[in-house]
Amino acid sequence: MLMYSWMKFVEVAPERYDWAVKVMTAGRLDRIKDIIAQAIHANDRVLDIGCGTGTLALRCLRRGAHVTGLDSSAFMLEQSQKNATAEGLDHELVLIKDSVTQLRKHFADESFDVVMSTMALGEFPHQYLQYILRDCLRILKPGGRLIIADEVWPEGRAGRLIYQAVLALSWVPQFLLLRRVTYPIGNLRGIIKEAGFNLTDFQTWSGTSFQLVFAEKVAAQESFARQPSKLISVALTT
Amino acid sequence: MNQVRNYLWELFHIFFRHYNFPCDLGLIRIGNPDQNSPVFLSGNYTLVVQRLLRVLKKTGIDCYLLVANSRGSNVWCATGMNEYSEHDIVDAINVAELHEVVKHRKLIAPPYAAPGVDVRWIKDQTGFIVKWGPTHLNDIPRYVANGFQRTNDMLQAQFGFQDRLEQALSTGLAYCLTISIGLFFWPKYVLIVMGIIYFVYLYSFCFWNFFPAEYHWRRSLTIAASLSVLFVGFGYWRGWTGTQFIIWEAMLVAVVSLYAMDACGSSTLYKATITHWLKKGDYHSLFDPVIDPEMCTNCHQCVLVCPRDVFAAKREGVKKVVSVKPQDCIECMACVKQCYDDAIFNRSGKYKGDVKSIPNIDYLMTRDWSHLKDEDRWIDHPTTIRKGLPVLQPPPLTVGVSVAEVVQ
Repeated sequence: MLMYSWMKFVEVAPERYDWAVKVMTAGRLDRIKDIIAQAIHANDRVLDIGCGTGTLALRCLRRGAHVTGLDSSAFMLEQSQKNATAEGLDHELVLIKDSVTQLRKHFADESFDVVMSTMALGEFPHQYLQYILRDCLRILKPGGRLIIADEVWPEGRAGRLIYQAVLALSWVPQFLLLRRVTYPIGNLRGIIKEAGFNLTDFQTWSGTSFQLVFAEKVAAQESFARQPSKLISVALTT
Repeated sequence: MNQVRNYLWELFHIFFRHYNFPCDLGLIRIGNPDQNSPVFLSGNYTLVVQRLLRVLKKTGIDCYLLVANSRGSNVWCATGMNEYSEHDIVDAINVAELHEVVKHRKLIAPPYAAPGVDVRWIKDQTGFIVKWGPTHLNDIPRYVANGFQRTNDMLQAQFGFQDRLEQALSTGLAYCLTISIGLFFWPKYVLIVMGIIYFVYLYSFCFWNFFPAEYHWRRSLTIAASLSVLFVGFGYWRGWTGTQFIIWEAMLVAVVSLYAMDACGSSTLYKATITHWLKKGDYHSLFDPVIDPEMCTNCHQCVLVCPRDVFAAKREGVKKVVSVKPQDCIECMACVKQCYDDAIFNRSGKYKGDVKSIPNIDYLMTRDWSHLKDEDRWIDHPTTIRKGLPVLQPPPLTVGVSVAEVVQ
């Protein structure tokens, strides 16, 4: 769980970002991004949500896909642009600065073959994820794929216990150094399924605490009208 | 029993105020709100949200509270770190489907969020207009009773006794936790140091108003000297040797210096750099705002968000906003963020750089302002308050002129 805090910490200095992520994940995230990129075909229309410094977007560009990157941080997008320019791919990469809940403002229904996101959705709570994934479902073509890699709560009971222990241990240095606590996604695959996707494949690392999920939009979708928003009712304590 | 639990909950969060505790995001209903009820906006720092709910309930009105993601910290700290931006608010509006919940398009927002929130973008994307509310949540009942209008005191950065006490308790705890590892090695001495830390912090924050303002280290020296007198008395009573006294006196001076350097950023009243304090002995901010009258479009956004009344509206002649009290600025950068005309220049050319929410801040802060030397004439110009906002006082009527006019 130190991962997210570490990322938050280095986010203000994007030039060190890629290096910091590499150190933190011991190169694992790079391997995961390679796996994702292998699933991308030439001429696929791809959306990268929370593209960060564009490392995954560039991998997909090299495979001949048309990539759009979305991020809410101007600093990150600038770094993406620099990285793309360094490889001469800056004309191919479309970058958009906006919030993740604004997908439908930018993209028509059924306009992408692949929507992917790595280490970006973790900071959102359940209700937000539901909203974002419903939008993803809309903007994907029938048969289009959703690929998400993120840190999650482990699924087995033993894994959960170990994870809890690591969380508790890391809580002290985190609090002292960064004054931050962060919470991973619970039940990632459940949320994706709930949004109407068909799960096709998944891989896990570190005792299921890091998951890579492949899902698919079923060809014939029934209408997915939005349900009216649920209001949280809070019992006042005093 | 419930009462006791709530009391302990609050006490825990007061002590851990320096740490992030996120609560659930979303729209909270207070009372029985309908399509026309007001919507208040907040971050998701759990202690503030609980207090807000209590205060809003006390006002007796039906309303909504929209909790947007500030990553579990207070909005002022979060927004400066770019962790509570227009994106988080738009996300909250979208996910809560606020368009369908209310008919109006107004959000009452904490003005401490101004350093990092692009309100124009929120309006473009969602149609919602951000209206700045009072800075302090305790003022909300008065604000509501006043017909949702702020009086001037509701705009000001406040640091009342309760805030100061809580600040002392929580900062003391943060430092005690940091040195707590030493408890395993020298439990007695570390405990005494912890006691000194708490004593210095409680003493300085509780008697805040009794010390002189920091000017050539005057405030810090007063605190150190008064506590030293106490130490001498205590040492005499306990029969300390000279060496013992010197050791503890050095410890006291170290803790007071820590407190003094911490005060560069630990209150709502100052923002300075440690280097500046060491060199000059005061907490003046580096940022020294001045407005270019050619670029200012008189939108008043800077006046609306300034927690120190640095700016005042000029109503005579060409209507502009001018900088009247730049020396009171606490460098929150709310005016710079809210100025869509980039009309605010920096006389000093220097800034602390802790606000990360303005992408082109380097350029804005170090621009050449030599063409604005003339604007110095507004510094310390007398002002009055109109509709809660500072306005330049018109020049006094000279009798001679009016008599001459009559004669003509």
